[in-house]
Amino acid sequence: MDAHLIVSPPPHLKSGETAHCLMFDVLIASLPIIFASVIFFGPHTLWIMFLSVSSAVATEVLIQIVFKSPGFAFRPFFYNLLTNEDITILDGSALVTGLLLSFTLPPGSPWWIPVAGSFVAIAVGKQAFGGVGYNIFNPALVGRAFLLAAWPVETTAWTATLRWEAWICSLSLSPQSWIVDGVTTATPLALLKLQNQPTPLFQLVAGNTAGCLGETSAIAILIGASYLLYKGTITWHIPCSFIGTVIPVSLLLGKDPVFNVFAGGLLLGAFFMATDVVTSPVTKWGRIVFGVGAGMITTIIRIYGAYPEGVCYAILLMNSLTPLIDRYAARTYQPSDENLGA
Amino acid sequence: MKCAIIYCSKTGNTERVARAIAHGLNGSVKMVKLDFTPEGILKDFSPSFTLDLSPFELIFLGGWVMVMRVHPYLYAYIKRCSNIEGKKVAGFLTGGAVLSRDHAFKDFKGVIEQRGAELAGFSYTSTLLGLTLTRKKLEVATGFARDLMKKCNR
Amino acid sequence: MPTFSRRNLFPPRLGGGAWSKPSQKAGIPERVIIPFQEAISMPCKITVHEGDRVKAGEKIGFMGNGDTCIAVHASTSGRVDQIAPMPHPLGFNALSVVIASDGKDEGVEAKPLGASGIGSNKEKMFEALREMGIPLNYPLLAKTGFAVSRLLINATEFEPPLTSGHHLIKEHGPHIIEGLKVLLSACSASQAVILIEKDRPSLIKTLKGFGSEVPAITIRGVNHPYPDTAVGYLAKKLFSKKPYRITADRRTEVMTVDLSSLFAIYNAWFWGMPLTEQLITVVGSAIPNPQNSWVKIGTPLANLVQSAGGTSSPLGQITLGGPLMGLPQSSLEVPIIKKTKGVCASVALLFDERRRSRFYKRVPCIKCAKCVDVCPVSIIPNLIADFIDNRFFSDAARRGVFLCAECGLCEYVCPSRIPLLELMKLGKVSLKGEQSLLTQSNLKLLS
Repeated sequence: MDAHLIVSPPPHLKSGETAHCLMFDVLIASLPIIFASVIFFGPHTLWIMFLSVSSAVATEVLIQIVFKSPGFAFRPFFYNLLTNEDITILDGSALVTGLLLSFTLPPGSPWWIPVAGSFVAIAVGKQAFGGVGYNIFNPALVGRAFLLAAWPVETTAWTATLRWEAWICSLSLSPQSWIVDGVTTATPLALLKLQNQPTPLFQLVAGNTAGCLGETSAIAILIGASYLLYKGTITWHIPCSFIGTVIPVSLLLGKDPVFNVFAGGLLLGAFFMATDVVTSPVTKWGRIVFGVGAGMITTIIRIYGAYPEGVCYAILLMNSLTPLIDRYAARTYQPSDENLGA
Repeated sequence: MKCAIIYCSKTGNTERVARAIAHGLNGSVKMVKLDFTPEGILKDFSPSFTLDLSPFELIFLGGWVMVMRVHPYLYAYIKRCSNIEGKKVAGFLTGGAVLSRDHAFKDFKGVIEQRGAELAGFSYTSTLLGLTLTRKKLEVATGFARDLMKKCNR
Repeated sequence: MPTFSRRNLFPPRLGGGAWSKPSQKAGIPERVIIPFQEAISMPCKITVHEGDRVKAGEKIGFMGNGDTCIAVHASTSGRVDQIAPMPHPLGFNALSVVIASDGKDEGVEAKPLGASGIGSNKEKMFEALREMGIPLNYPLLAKTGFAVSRLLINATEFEPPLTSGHHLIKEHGPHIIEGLKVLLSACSASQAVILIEKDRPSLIKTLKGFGSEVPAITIRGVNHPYPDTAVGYLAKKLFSKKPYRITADRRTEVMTVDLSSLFAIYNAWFWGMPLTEQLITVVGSAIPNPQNSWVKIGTPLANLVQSAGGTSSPLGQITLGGPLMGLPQSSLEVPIIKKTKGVCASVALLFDERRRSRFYKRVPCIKCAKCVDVCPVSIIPNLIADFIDNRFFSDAARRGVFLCAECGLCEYVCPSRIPLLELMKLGKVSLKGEQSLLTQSNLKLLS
């Protein structure tokens, strides 16, 4: 009767969550941002996001078929794609990387920008380090840094927000008219730095300015971020310390802090990019140090550096310091009777 | 004719389909729910494991589809349940996309025949996060149960 | 909808239905197996021989020696059948006395300790408690000269389906406070802190009501339940002036007691009864009637499961303890020992390897830090597990692997399905040797 009792080590209970649950939450939190970018820049932003996401997933599949499971059976294709263990697209990290990368692209980018960026983001930023969990740098930001270095003109081709009436009137059956031809303008940060022209606060918060797909509308980002905080996917430490450092440092250096918070990709970076679980520290104090460092570097690049926008490089630099922060933020215990005894 | 419906439901969609099937069968149906923790351990005492399937003639087994296959819990239950040999079994599965239907059907048929039971019918209901589980689909499930009952009674 | 609701890191209270029912007395088993060793090759002395007739509550020997010597009593009346090594829940064969009960359960004459007036002499008092078989931290008492600074009582229920501690408070609240008063006066502690979860307000009210006349008793509400093995760490953190330097100073000489010991002290003081019964929760998916029952110490598990409704379906796993920290047993002839709190019997499904869902296979750590957020002793499980995976055991020790209370919460919560608890145990065993697995970690688990 009891010949088959299972003796397995405790715990015998597991919570049902896996990594794809975290990514799914980020996806849902990005929905307001997608919605806002469609409102401000037109429906072809969806095309850019689609290209970016599908290229990211395709790159991951390609690299994993070639390097990790060379004996991949090609038919039936989708069945094997989803059930083969070496192909990890089901945990959603490639999808989220592609989506976040597309949030940092300008609306006027040609089709090969998101494709190339996603390819580099996944191949170099993630798979070259060993896959999910082993990467040091945030893959979306690696892709963006590569694009900024390789094709600086196309990656900073900011356009003004869409005038819906004019565009709808000009729609016809030919596909050329569906793509929005925007008027080139500069982002609020570039306007301030190069032409010394401030932008009213309401425009910044609502999002009626030029900029990347994801960074213009502060309200949409805050809605998404509040969902993530409520759900428990991210903790308040990194965003609050990031934004909370930008404010006093910019005050100290003589610039308007509220403008610095709402203009540019600070909110997007603080809530979505810097809080990426793989590349941020593990302890609470470590996260606060991470946020403070990133905030300082962002403000310094914005004020003294050549670029108008510093969030991307700030986060990448702090990502490289994350292992060091983790090493010192974790407490060490001296061997003594306290913890080596029964 | 005595029927039993044994189902496994995580978000409640399979449960609704199970209720629709019970409605379609109209008679005395034994409904048993399998409630699992994520490691495959039954949460509380469930009569499904003490249920001897011999007095039933038509058994409906329901679960959801994960990665194009029958979910491991339902699969393991089918392999471990008692006295299912020779019975008529009908499957009602729910899943996110219609693409998985053929794979899930093949999987389900395989494990049923491995146990020695006979596959009498199969129904697949696609639900996308529960949003597309319309009343029409539930009525389709009810109709499926009714037709199956008529076919087996003949 | 479960997809959109707030993520809860701690396991929810599983059902089981044992909370709403009053506790019952389990019947007298046909035979009772009383183990005499809690660790491999622990010294013990048995004072009865095969064939003797014993009564319930009669002392039949003692285990341990020196400061840890505790008397062992027969839990029911009958005839001594065998004295031989029998399977013990911790996995080894312990020398045990098997008593074939005669069903009458006649007790030996009981002399209440309170009446004998030894309360004034501390050393005699604790020796008498040892004679009654009550498990307390006697070495600490001896070291501090029977004067500890504080008592810490963990009344939280860490395992989700078990409710035996809370039932004890619900039904014997005043008795527990009486026992606590006796202990307070015996060891002259200045304060007794009882930890209980904030979401059991009825229990907090009961305890406050009965404990209000003694100012030394403080009831403290906590947000999450604590495992019993982490209470020592908690004592140091709560009462030491410098909580971040875990040092031993006079303030941190805190004795931790559990609820069943307090009830046993009450029984010994007022009724003179030694520890022969234990309140155990029997729950699980194989148990039709989950219940809390008063079980004689030494009852084989088979009897326990039978009295709760039996299992007419094949049993998959039976665990002594709860699902987070309990030890699964390999046979149903294993006895209940003194510090058991519950038994979980589940009809586990067997997955064959090919079908085990790929979502539940181990993947690399994504450093989500959920384990860090949930750990009750504030160590960093993913870092330590990484060290142990690569066999850097001394680094793992420096990062605090011995502080691990083996509660299992980190492995419960990990989305990458990393076997964190097993890696911790592997680290401890590799550093302290084979003996440590059975003495250190598992003994703490069952207490």
